[in-house]
Amino acid sequence: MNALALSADSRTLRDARADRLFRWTVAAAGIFVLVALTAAALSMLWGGREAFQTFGWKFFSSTEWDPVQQKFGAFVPIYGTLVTALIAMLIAVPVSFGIALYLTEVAPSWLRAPVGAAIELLAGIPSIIYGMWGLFVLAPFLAEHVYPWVDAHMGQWPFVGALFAGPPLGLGMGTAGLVLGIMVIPFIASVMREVFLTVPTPLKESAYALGSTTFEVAWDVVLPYTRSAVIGGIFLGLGRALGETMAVTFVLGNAHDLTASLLMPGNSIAATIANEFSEADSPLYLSSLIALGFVLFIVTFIVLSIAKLMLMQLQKRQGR
Amino acid sequence: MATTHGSANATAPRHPAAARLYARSRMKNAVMMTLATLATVFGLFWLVWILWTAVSYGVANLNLALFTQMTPPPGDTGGMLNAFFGSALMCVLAIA
Repeated sequence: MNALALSADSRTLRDARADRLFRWTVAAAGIFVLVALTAAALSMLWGGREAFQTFGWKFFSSTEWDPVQQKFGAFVPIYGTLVTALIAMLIAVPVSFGIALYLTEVAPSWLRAPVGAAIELLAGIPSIIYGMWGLFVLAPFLAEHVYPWVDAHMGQWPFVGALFAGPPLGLGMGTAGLVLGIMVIPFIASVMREVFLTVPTPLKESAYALGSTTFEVAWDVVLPYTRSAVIGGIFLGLGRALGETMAVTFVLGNAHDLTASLLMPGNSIAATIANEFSEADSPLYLSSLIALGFVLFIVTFIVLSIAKLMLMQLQKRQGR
Repeated sequence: MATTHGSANATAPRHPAAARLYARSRMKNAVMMTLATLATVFGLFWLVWILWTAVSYGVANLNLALFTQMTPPPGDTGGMLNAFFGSALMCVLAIA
């Protein structure tokens, strides 16, 4: 009896020790992510200190990027990153909603699994393939068949005409945005599909019983019910669009010019770093590129923070 | 007698205003369902195009040497064994 109590006691002790060890291991794994993130940001800040010291705040607002005269400004790449990501989201969000709707409500049930798998296959295509396909196949096609029409017809629109006017080069902000949109679609669509399937059937059936159509159920019941998860999926896509390097580098055109036209070549932060890192022949040049990496970090952080704040605002309005 | 309405019209409202509302919402539903289908076709269209590009360019160079020989110097023939090995090794290191 005594021995039994003793062994149970030592077992409790051992369990407690194992528990503590497990807790520390898991905490370390979690903290490791934060440490790695902070270390990456700080090392880029340190690497870019020469650029920040030389140009100060003008580094963010200057459109000049002149390796010969050693003048570097990040505004053109920042603008390109934001505009291409915006175009990508304008394409990807409605299309992904449509795909999720089709896969959960419209498609016959035998078609749902194969089509869903095919859409997810889009996420499995490496970004270098998107880039090469964009450069060798998509850009010549757009330059020959689509952009001349866009320039001739949409270029004259009031106010927004300047966005669509320009020579049909094929490479540029519009092409990059389109390729990014295609790359982001599978991420948003599969998140949306998964969360649409979590909506309780009685909830949907109640709406149907009141005479709602399929679209009304999707728009007024399913979407509000899954709103935060859907916005989370959109963030995921946005994060990828902001940081995408290889595909954008191939189709963006890499020109350090600030133009309103989406048909003209531009530059993005990631594309600039990828293109010019091997040619950075002076410490200031190299430092500017690393500073650009730090800027991308900040831009992504700010955009995702704004999105998070919007989500919190939305939830507050719902009274949560 | 009252219970034997035609089943096809059982849900259609009788009041003209209600009928208009109903028709409009049916119409909107049809449009949106078509758009959803088109969105899926849009997504699949790119997948097929990219896959077709990759296959049509790549199939001519698909042979055993690709998997069994090293990357050749420029102008020579060979395979991409070292690249396959590198990819596999990196994957194993990242996961394990």
